[in-house]
Amino acid sequence: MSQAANDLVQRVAAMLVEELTQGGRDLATLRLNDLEREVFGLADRVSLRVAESLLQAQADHLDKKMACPCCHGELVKKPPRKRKLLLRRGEAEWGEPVWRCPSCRRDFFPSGSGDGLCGGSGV
Amino acid sequence: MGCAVEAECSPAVEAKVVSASTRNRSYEEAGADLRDLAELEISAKRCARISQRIGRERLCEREARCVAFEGRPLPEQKRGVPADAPANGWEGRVAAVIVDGGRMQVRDERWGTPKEPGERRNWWREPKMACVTTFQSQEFAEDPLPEIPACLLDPLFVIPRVLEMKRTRAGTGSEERSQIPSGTTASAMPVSQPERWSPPPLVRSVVGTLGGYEDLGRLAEVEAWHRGFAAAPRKVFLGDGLAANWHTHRERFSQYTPVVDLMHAIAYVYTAAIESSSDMNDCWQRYCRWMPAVWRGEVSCVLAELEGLIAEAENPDRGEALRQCQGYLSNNASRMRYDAYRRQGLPITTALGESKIKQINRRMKGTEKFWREGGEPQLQLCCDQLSDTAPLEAFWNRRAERQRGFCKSRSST
Repeated sequence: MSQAANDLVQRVAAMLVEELTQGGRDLATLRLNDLEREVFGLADRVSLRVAESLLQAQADHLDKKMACPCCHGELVKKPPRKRKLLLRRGEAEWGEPVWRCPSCRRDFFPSGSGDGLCGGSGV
Repeated sequence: MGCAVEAECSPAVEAKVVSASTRNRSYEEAGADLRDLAELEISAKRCARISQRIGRERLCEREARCVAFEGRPLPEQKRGVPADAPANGWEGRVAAVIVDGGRMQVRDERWGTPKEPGERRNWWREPKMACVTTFQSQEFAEDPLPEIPACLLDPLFVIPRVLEMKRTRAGTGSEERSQIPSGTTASAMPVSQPERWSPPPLVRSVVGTLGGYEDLGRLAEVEAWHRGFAAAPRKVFLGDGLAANWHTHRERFSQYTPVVDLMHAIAYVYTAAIESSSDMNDCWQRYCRWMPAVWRGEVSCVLAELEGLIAEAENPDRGEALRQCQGYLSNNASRMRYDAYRRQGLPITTALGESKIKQINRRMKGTEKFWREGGEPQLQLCCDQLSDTAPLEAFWNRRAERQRGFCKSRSST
């Protein structure tokens, strides 16, 4: 892990510990099972929230006017679709941009591309 | 993002589902493992759907790889080595292709249709498998193991193995004359430890199909080419005595030394010996005389003696059984020169292939398991998972790069 990533983990961990121990919580009677359930459950929810936010940020970043990867014709913007995807820490949900190519009569999802907008060759 | 537009799970989750569905005995077990170990709620049905979809994608890749191979000029197919082949030298290594078959039940279009009077339906089919592998070995000036290992003359070692092979061939349990000859058991306890008479394996890759032997030969040839086997000075093709194996050898692996699995040879020698007399001790004595000859590559000695026994046989069933053994041994005699193979440092058993088949059977075979279209994709995933070359890792990377941001259902029309 890089130093920057390590520092980030330390900051987030310290913040969470402070949140979890505030209000004079009695740690003496805390069982390991309960501790694991609480801490890792929280970590999972945080991970999922971070993943959702990044996926939304990526979708917003890719949501700009572009040409169709197939025919290079002009794409028409459609309303974003609600996307759900099961990740390793639970189901993430975000708004995915959708464009339509009138010539190909197909919807194009920029964030579904393998390497940017026109990856691969297997259409 | 590198994720299919219509995907329900991320590629990392799909990889977990495929792994659990392939390593466990059933999709139900896979779902339970994912819930307990990975804390993912994925139903058995969904596991099956995801795994078989990935399996079908692997089958498409496999076919494309075969077509690309067949598009190459013949000299390159036979003698060429691809640029991405492993860079190892062949000093102290042997290239081997081991073929074998398993069992699984596959329902076809007859399923659900009314039976004809007296019709019996059997869904058991043979998935064929080839283990494309390297062995670490050296050549010798003389046979390094001229004396037959003691375990091969130990009834407690030989008889259970022979009976297991017969049961596997018959597909069900069958009653056999399996009593241990008297006077041999007391001294033979405990069971002799087998000595290593085949070189140790190095890197194994597995290909398999529910198609015919021709399909298996094609897959094995392409895999061997990608592994750079053409450059190996010592190459061996191992199988049991099945004629289809040796047809594949002639058609696709003619530069490989053909070797019949020693354990199959033992099974036929043992059966011939058992059928040669009604006295079990006589039978065992005969086996103990014949087997060292086969070990030395002198099958002709056994054949000569068998000829006389067939002529003398009074019981027609016994005569037929002896004739079958004689047929097997004489048809395969040229592939049973075990002394020469040991000198060349070649493996002489298909134990490695048998082991892979057992692992495949664990997933695919069961009296309660009936496969349909999903059989071949799941078999492909089993083979991938058993390969040391980790073909699935490369597949996930290629798959991510292939995503183009269109729905598959529309793009395929």
